[in-house]
Amino acid sequence: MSRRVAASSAIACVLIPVLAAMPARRPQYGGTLRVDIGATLTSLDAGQGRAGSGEEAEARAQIESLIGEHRQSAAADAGAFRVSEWQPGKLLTLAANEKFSGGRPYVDAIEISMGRNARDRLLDLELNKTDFAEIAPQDARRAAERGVRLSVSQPDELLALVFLNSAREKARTQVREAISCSIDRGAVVSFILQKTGEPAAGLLPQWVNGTAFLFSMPASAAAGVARAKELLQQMAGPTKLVLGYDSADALEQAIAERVAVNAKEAGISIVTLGIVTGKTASDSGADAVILRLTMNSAKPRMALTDFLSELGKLADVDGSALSDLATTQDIFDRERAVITDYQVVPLAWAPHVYGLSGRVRDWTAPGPAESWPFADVWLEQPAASTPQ
Amino acid sequence: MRHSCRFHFLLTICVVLFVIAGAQARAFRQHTDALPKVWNDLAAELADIVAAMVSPAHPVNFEFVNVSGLGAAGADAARAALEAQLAHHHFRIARSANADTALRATLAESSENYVWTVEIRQKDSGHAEPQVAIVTLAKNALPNDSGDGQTVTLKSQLVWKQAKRFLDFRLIGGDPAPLSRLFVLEPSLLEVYDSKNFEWELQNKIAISRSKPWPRDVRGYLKGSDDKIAFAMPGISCTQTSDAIPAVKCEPGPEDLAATGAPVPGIEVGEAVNVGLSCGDARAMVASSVGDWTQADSLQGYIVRNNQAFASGVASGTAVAFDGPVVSLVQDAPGTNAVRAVVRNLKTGNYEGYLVTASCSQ
Repeated sequence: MSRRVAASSAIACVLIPVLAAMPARRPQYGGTLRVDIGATLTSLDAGQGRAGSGEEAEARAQIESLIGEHRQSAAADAGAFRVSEWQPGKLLTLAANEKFSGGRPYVDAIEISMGRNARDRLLDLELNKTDFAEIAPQDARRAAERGVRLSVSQPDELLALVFLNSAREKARTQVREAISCSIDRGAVVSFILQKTGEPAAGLLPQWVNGTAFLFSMPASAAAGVARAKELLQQMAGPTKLVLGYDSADALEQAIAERVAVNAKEAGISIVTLGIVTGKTASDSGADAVILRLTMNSAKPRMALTDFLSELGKLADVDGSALSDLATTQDIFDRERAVITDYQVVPLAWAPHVYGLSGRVRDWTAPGPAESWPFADVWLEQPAASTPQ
Repeated sequence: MRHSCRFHFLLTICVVLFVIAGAQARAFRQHTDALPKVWNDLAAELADIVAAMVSPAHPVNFEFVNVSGLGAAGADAARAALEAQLAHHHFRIARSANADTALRATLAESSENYVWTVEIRQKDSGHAEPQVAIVTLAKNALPNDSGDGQTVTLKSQLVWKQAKRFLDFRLIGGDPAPLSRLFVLEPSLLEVYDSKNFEWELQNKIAISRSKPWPRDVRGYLKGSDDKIAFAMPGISCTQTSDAIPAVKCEPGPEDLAATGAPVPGIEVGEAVNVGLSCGDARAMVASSVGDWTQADSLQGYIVRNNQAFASGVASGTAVAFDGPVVSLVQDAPGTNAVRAVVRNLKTGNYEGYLVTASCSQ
C-alpha cells in the first residue's frame, strides 16, 4: 500500500504542476480542436462496431460516440458533431452540431489526424501541432519532463501474467506461486511504467472496490525471491516455461522480459516469445502470457465479471458472471479465489494518459468505457490585442 | 490523627479515579457522538460478522488503520464505535501482542463507498490467508454535511444537493420550517419544495420550454421577491403567477443574461458578487477562486476600498473550500449579506447549493 501511495505521489509531483495554475474562465465558444490518433480508419460505415485492431476499434468507437447516428446527410439532433470532411485513412473533420439536444459543443470543429504513431503524437504535442493525443503510460513521465501537459485517468487497465490452460501440468501451483513471489512489481511500475500506475496484487484497483489493500505482496523484492526459492526447494527438477506477449506491444514485451529476469533470480527459467497478431496464445506454444485487460465499467461487479470472462477463455478460471446482488464481500471473495490459485498473477494497474495543449479547457479524463468528452471541452482564445 | 490522614488519602484517590473515569467516559461519548448513526450501525454489523467468525473466548489483539479520506476525528470515532461493538460481543482486547487471535480493522474507500474490513488471523486455524469481514457504506448515503463554521468571515450552509444538474436555488423562510419554501431551477425545469414536518416535499414541477436547444453552458438565476419569485434563462424570462400551487408565466427574454457579478478590483478571481455589507468605510465582496471547472474551488471574502483614484480589493478572512468548482454565484437578494453558490462536487458528482453568509468583524 505504501509503495502504491509513493508511486502515485511521485507521478502526481510531476503532473500536478503541469495542470495547475489554469486561470478561471467561463467557457468560450469557437476554435478547432486538433486531435492526433494512431489508428488509420478507412471507413466510417455504421455497424462496423469495434471491428479491426484494438487501436482502430477504440478510435471507431470514440468517433461514433461523437457523431452518434448523425451522418453527413441526416438532420437529426443526436450526436454532438457531424462529419464535414472525410479523407479515408488521413483526416476526419467534424463540425459542431448546432441542433444537438445536449447543447452545441463549445468548439466549432474537431480535426482528427489519423495514423500518427506514438512518437509523432508526442512530437506534435511538444511542437503545439495538436491539442489532444493519447500517450502510452510508459511515456508519460518523459512527456511531462518535456513540458507536455498531461491528464491521467484513474488506473483502469490491469497488466497480468496468465497461465494458460494447456500448461496446467507443467506450471503447478507451487511454480505459479514462486513466479508470483519473484516478480518485483515495484520495479515494473517504477522503471517500465515510469511511475505511471500502481503495483497490483488483486484484479480490481482500490478505487473500484476498496479492497485491493487486502491482497498482499512480498514486503520487498528480496523477500519475494527468498520465498520463491523456498517454494522451489520443495519441488523436484528445474522448471522451464515460455512466456508469450503481443509482439506489437512494447509494454507487454518489456514486462515479459522483466518477469523472466525476476524468475531467473529465483531459479526459474523463463523464455519470452513474441506472439504475432492473428495467432492465438494457445497456438503459440506459450505456457503463460502477459495480458492487458481494460476495464469496461467502473462498477466493481461488472468490471470483475468482464475480467473473469476474458480470463476464463485462457486459464483455468471460473469465468461465470457475478450475481447482480453481489456485495463487496462477494466480489472480494471471488477475486481472492482467482488470485490464491495463482492462475492469474496481477502485476500492475495502468491509467490512460492524455497529452493536451495549453489552450484546452475543462477536459476531464474519461472513466472506464466513457467517451472523450470533446463536447464539453473549450479552447482558450488568444486575447484580443489592445489598440495603442 | 493517623486514621484521619489515611481517610483523606483514600478519599483523594477515589476522587481522582472518579474524575479520570468520568473524563474517559466523556471522551468515549464524544468520540461516538461525532459519528453519524449510520457509522455506528455499520460498526455493529461488522462486529456481528466478526463474532460469527471467531470466538470471543480468548483475548484478541486489535489494530485499527485508516486509509480512507475520513479525517482523524472521524476515524477515532469509528475505531471507538467498533471497539465498543466488539466489547458488546464480549471480545477482550489483549494488552500483549501475542494473543492467539489478531483483528486488524481497516477503514478504506472506493470511489463510491467507504469500505470497512477486519482481517482475522488465528494461530493454528489452518487458514493460510486471513479470514476477511467486509461491510460498506455508500458515500451518498451519508447525511448532509452542513459545512458551516469554516471561517470567521464567511459561513456556508448546504441547502440542497442532487445528482442532477441545477442552475440556481432560492430558499424562502429558512431551513425546512413551517411555511418555508425552496425553489430549484434546473435546465428545462423549476421544482418547488414546501416544508412538511421539517423536510422538503416536492410541491410542483414546472416545465420550461424553449424552441431551440439550450446553450451548453446554460445559466439561469432566480430573483424577485419572497412573495413573487422570478427567473431568467437564455431567451426566457418568467414570473410566478400564483402562490398556493406555484405557477409561472414566461415571455421571451434576452439570449445573453445580464452579468450578476462584478470584478474584485485589482485581483484575478473567478466569479465575484457584491454583498450588502459595510466593513467600516469599505464594502465586502465574495468571489470564487481561479481555476477551471475540473478543479476544486473556494469562496473568499474581500474588502474593497474606494480610494480617490481607484478601488482596490484585499482578501479578508479564511476561504470556504468546496470539493468542486463554483459553477454559479449570485447575491441571495438585493441588500442581503448572503450569496447563493452552486457547486459541482467532483468527489460525489452531485450538484450542491450553498447559502454563504458574510459577516464583518470590526
